[in-house]
Amino acid sequence: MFICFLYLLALTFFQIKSLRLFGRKFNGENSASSHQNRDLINPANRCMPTEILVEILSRVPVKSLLKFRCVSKSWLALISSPEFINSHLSLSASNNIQESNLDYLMKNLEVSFLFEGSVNGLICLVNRAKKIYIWNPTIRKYKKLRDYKFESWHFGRFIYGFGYDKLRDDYKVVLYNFHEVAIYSLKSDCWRRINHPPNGGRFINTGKFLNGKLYWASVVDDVVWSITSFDLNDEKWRMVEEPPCGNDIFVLGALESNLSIMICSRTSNVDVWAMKEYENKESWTKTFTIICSLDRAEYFLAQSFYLTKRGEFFIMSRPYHMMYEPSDNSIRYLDLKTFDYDLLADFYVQTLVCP
Amino acid sequence: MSSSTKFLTLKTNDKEEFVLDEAIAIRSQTIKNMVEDDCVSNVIPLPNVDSKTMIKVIEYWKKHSEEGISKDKLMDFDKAFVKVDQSILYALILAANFLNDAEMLDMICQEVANRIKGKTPEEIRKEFNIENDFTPEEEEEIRNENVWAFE
Repeated sequence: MFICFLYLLALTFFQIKSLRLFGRKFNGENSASSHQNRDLINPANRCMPTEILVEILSRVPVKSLLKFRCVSKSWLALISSPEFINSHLSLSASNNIQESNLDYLMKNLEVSFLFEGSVNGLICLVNRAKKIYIWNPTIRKYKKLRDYKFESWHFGRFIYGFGYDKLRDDYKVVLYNFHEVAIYSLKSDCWRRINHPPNGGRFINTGKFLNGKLYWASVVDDVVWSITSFDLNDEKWRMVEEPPCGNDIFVLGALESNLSIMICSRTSNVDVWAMKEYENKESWTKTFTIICSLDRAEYFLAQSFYLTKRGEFFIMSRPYHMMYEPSDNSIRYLDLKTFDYDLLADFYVQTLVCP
Repeated sequence: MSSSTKFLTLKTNDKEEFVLDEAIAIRSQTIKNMVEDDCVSNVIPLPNVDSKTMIKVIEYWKKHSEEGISKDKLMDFDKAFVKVDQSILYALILAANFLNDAEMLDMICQEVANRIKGKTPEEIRKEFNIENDFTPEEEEEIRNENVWAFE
C-alpha cells in the first residue's frame, strides 16, 4: 500500500542540533485550515474544469503545491481542501517517484526522538520526556499531542503504535504500558483508556501498522510468543494465529503489504514468514531462510525488517544493519553506528495531510 | 476475423467524420457505454472534441491497440506523443476527460504536472491565465507560511 521510496528515517535518539526548527520554521499547526473555504470555482480560464485541475495538481509534488497556494484564492482553497489532500495522497501512495530529503530535520534538531511509525506522510515521534509529536515533514507542520494522564504512576517501558482509521478518517496513537493502555484520536484530540490485550502478554517493540490494524509481537512469562492485533476502527484486540515456525523471539515486519515475522531458529538461521492473505492462517508462507551468523543477542535487538524497492531484505539490528539479497543469498552489513541507539525504518510518502 | 469487425463513425464538433474499428473506439468508456446500451446510431457525435485533437486521440488509441507491441515501444511512443504544444495538451486533456479514457488522461495530466511543477506562482498565473486576487499583504502572508518552499 505504501510502496514508495524507502526512506530510512534515522530513528531512534539521533542527536540533532537545535530546537529552533520547531520554534521558528513550523508556523503553527492550523495555518492551512484557516484558509479553507469551499468556494472551489474554476481557477483556470481556459475552460479547465476543476476536476481536471485536481487531476493535474494531484500529480504535482508537495513543495510545488505549497508555492502554488499563492497563485489565487481559488487555488489556495483547492489545495487546502480535504478532498484535494485525499486525492493527492492516494496518488502519492501509488506512485513511487518521490524521493525525500529530510536532512534538514537532522541538521536542525537538538532533541532526541524515537521514531514510532509513518502513515500517509505523517510521522509519529516521541522524545525523551515522552512527549508525542505527529509531524508532516513535507509541509513542515507538526502537532504536539496532549499528555495522557495515567490513572496511577507506573514504571516500565512505553510502547507505541501509530496508524490510520480509514473509516473515520482519523489518525490514532496507541500507548501501551504493562499496567495501562490508552488510545489517542487526532480528530477528537483526546486520550481514552482502553482494555489490555486479552492474553496478558508484554509488548516488546513498536506496533506495525498494516491494513487498518496495529500488530505487536507479545510475550507471556518471557517464553511464549504470540502476535496481537488491534483494529483501529472497532478498537478490538485479537490474536493472530502464527505460522508453524516454532516458538521463539518474534520480530514483526512487512513484506509488500503483508504481515510478516522473522524468527531465529535453533540453527541460528533466520526464517522469514509472510501471511500472503489477510489474516488467513493457512496463507503463512516461508518466504526465505537467511543463513547468517546473527547471534541471539543481536537478533533480540532487531527492531524490524523491510523489503526495499529493489527487493532486498533489510534487517535493522545492532551494531550492524543487514541487507540480504534473496536472488543470490548474499549479505551486506551496513555500518550505521553514527546512530547510537536502535534504529527503525518505515516507508514514507510525501503528502499534504495536516497533523 | 475481419468479417466480424464493426466500424463506428465518430463526428467531431467541426463536422469531420472518423470511421474507426469499434474494438479501438471502445477504449473510450463513454463510447463503450453507448455501444453497450445499444444507443449507437450510425454516427456518434463528439460535441466536445475537434478534429485536430481527435486525430491525435486516434493515433494514441491505434498505437495502444497494436497487437504484440512491446512496453518499451509504447513508452517511447508516449514520450513523443506528449511532446506537443501546451494548447494541444490541454485540448487532449479535455478530450480524454470527455471520452473517459483514464489511461490517456493520467498520462497527459502527469505531463502537465511535470511541466508546471518547477514554475513560480507568477508563471502559473500566466500559464493558466489566472488573475491574482490576493492583496500584496495577503500574498506575503501565505508566502511566509512556507518560505522554505520558495528557496
